[in-house]
Amino acid sequence: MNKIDNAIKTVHHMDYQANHNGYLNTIHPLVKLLITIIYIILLTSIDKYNLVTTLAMSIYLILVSMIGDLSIKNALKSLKVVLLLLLILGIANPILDRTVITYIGIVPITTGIISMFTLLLKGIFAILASYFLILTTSIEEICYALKMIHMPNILITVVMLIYRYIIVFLKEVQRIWVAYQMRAPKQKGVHYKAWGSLIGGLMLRSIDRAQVVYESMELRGFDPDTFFIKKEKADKKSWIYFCLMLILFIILRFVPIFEIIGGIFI
Amino acid sequence: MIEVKEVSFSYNGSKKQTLSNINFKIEDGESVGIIGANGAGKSTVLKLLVGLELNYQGNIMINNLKVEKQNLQEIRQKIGYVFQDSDSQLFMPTVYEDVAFAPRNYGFSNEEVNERTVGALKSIGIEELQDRQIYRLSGGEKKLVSIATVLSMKPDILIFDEPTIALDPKNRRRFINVLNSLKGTKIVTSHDLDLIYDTCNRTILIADGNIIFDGDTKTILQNKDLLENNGLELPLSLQRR
Ligand SMILES: Nc1ncnc2c1ncn2[C@@H]1O[C@H](COP(=O)(O)OP(=O)(O)OP(=O)(O)O)[C@@H](O)[C@H]1O
Ligand SMILES: [Mg+2]
Repeated sequence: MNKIDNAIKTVHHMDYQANHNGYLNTIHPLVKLLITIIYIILLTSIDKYNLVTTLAMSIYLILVSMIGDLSIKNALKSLKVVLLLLLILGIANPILDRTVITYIGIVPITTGIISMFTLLLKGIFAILASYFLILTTSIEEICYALKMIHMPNILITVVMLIYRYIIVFLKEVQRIWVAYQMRAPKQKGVHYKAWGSLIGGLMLRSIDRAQVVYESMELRGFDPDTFFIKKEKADKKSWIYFCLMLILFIILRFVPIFEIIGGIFI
Repeated sequence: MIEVKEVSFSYNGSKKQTLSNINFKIEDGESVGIIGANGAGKSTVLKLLVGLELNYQGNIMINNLKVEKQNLQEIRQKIGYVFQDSDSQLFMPTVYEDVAFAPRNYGFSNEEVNERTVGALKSIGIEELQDRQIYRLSGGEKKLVSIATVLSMKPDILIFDEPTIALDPKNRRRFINVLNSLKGTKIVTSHDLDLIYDTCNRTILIADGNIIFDGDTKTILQNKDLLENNGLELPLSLQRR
């Protein structure tokens, strides 16, 4: 039960933090969205054996975490489930791709191991970049930025309501769970025969709820066509941030900095 | 003015007729209570008024606009609807954001939005809740906040579905005072007949989707037989006499 409570709190906390004032919160949402998209595109386009460049791309994340006063450690902690999934996906590489390229001591290093690490890091970095965007930008601002890059209304509305729906869903889970526990106190977990009807009920109730929430928005004048467009244009500071980040990306992605730095010392 | 003429309605996929041939008229500034047992059709009447269900037979007019798709925006701007269940009403992260939601949607300037939001919170005495996160509020606090979310629209018509259901006696009193101080047309559904007695001059009794009585509140709330035949009881304040 506490797990669901915690999940609800985490979701609320994310949204709450996004509405609070850090330096990054003052950057225009469109700029942050574009930067994040460009970062992810550049990141995923790196060759799968190019571990060094992939590693270099982490400098952006470190920088953002410093500017925005965000903890990478905490972020990784809250994302551990996703990371676990990534690991499962990545594990196939060393098995399928076994060309040995070098040895560390007597341990053979295969191209598969390299590509596994690259893939893992790319995944982690992309997720962190999106997570940092969400932490520093309220959902309304993200929607507004999405509107500016001409995403269809329906998708934006879904994005906007996603927090709301996650919470609605979790609360339904909580309610059904409590109701079940009260009437089956000796049972550990849920009896397998009850799963079907519990999940069925959960889906129906969540959909119903989501519907009513949407009605409540409509009754208060919500119209996706006008809702997402009314904020001010990006200011100078935001564009400077944009340009600086872009330059950083180009350096990280296309200039072999580690080799150059290495070259100085050798 | 609200005009409901020969309205019948069944929910999608349900064979039963939820409302059958309902007729009533509410003038500007009236306070009307709608009472009836569980499942009588009270909430359904309210949903029809704001166009949440559009497949009805008959005619519903709000300020001379028919309740149909193309008029909805205009109609809804004039009506504030407080849901029976506050959890459905509130969806923004903080109290302030939620109360500001409607005025923002209607395109008011930032100052106007702020003025309306703070004004609505003050009018029911909950300005201290303004920065609180919604999910941490108690049931009663949520109810008060959801009332504020429609007051910030400054609607001509206010609709309350079971407004006192989560309120303790003190907040219930507070709500009654607020309700009585608000101008405009008010419609309240409730099983709390004392609430109806204290806030509405006129009462409509619904049973099984039919209007059984429509008239002076005192008359009906003193009619023990009529109430009991329809699954209700005399209000406490009248029982003692
Ligand atoms: N979405 C729906 N789909 C099908 N039937 C519905 C739906 N909502 C309500 N009903 C049915 O319509 C009838 C009237 O419901 P309504 O919610 O209007 O009652 P009510 O008078 O508000 O009751 P309560 O006092 O319990 O709130 C009930 O029989 C109910 O089961
Ligand atoms: Mg009802």
